[in-house]
Amino acid sequence: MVKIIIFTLFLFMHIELYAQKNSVQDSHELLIINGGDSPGANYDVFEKDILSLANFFDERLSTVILNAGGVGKEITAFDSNGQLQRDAIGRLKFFPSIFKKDSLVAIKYNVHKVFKAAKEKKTKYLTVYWGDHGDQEGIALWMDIISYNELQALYGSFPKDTLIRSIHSHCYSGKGLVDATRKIPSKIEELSNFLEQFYFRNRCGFAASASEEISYYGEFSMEGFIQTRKKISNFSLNDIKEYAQTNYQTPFLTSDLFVDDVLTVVCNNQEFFNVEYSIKEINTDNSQFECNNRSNDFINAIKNYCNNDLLEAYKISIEKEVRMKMVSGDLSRLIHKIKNKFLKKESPDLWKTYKTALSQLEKSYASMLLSTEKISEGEIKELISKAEQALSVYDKSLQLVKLTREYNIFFENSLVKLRDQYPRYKEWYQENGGEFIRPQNIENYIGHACYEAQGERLLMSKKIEQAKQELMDQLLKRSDFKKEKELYEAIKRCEESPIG
Amino acid sequence: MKLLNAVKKVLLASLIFYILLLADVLAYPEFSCGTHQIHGKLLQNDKGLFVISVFSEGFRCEFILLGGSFEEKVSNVNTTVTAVIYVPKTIKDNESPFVFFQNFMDTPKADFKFKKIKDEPCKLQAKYKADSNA
Repeated sequence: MVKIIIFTLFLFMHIELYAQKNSVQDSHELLIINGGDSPGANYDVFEKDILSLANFFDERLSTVILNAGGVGKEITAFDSNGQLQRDAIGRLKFFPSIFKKDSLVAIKYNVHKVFKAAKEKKTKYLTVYWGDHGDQEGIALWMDIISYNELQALYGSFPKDTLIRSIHSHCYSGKGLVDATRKIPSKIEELSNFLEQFYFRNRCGFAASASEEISYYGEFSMEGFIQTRKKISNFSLNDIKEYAQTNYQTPFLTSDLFVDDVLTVVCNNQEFFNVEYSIKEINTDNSQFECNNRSNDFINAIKNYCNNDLLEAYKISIEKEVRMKMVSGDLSRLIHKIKNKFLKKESPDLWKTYKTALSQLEKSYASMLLSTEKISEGEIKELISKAEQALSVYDKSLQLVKLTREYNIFFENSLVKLRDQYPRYKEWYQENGGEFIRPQNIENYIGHACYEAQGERLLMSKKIEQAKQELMDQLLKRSDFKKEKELYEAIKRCEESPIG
Repeated sequence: MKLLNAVKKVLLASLIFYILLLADVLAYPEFSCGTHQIHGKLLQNDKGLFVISVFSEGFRCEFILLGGSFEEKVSNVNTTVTAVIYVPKTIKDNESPFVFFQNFMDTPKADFKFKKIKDEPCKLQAKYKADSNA
């Protein structure tokens, strides 16, 4: 009898666990969308991103994938030099898709269909990944595009108790988080309504680049991020942002946009807060002492963030970094030129072989384009083979160049003769009171100067972030900011909540 | 019932066809025949060909440089350049983006990625400048 009871209890527990597991799976929907845009623009790296994301969650989440033109569509790939791979006659090479899982064609009809299905399932947690290309108007689908407005409408069609988290890695991805057409109000009185209209307690997102920025694959990739999560079974949008250390684009979260919008209004309405502070100062008594101290901190935080000194210093640091990059660009061109001149002088046969092989290959392509000469694919392949061989020998010789003493002497003489052709480098070394004559020393010095300039820019950026956060903290302490605080904290919770 | 299903299928197929036909794909910039300036990074692909990559409106546009000074091209590899090119055949995508290289310009802070200089006829042989020392 006891055995039967234990067995029955055990069975019930299993059924309960199974039901719980399924209900969790059912209530958490993951939509992975790689639009692909068109055959030539559908890169292998996009598929690697969605594949790693799909594999990470495996069967733990109910996952629906929309992948470009669907199962069996081809992709293009990059070569080891980061250029699109091409066939013998220079056309794009297409490869079989690496994504073998079930997927739908990424057309708008299917996007609407999967969102509708998620809604009908009464999904409690919806996570959407938007990969591949995007422009100022919207995100690429397969031979199609979904506008940022349509995206907001899709999210808006879900009930308020569905937590919607989105990850955008495409270009201009900042436009995907909050209505990109929103107009920031000029008056502080309008702020509350504005925030209620454009920000939602149940929505948050991560964008790999700002609204006006291009996303570079080398800067942020979902595949790269997933590799860092191997021992952890979930992640939040916050985790993705922390991972995204970029140089050329600005990753951010919905809460960052929220803060920027709020502080823009606050900075444009400093008068309002100054008047409020003055009134409190006139009416001061002991009971208000603490309150006034708080106002003091608040006014200081406004002054610190809104007075533009920090922004000015930041602009200067950016200009300095850009300048150093240009000096460094000039120098690398100069060094590269000297190396080539040296190679041409020291190994004329090698140089000639390399130049002839490439020139003949280029000439053949030109002849084909102009239809002046008929060239077979076999002949082209032979020319390619010669060019590849010559390039390989040349590259190896170029690598060895800087190790010789003769080169250092040649470098010193050439530097004097050629540097006038590189005005940004010339101007910089004149400002810095001379130059090194050894190539390695120059490279190290300029490299260090670039590193320093980047460091200064990052430091300024951190100071701005700190000032921004201080002002935001002060705002959140205000009793008249209660509603905004609740909204802000809900968005932050959404960004911190684990996916999976 | 079977007829109804068949009609449904035909209607659905037509709908998908029109969706695809009318769909708005991200606009890859079109480069018509003539002289252009482009600003981007000069690299070499695995065949050794010189390629300028330019990122624009969510796209990566590649231009394969043919002809012109070999030494100039070699000297500028791995750096950002502004190049004057002649487009011998209209380029609408990355499929076969061959252009005739004319020369490099010194515009380090170029505020453009592409600039059309002159409309010209296609396939002008004189625009292909074989390197005289080759």
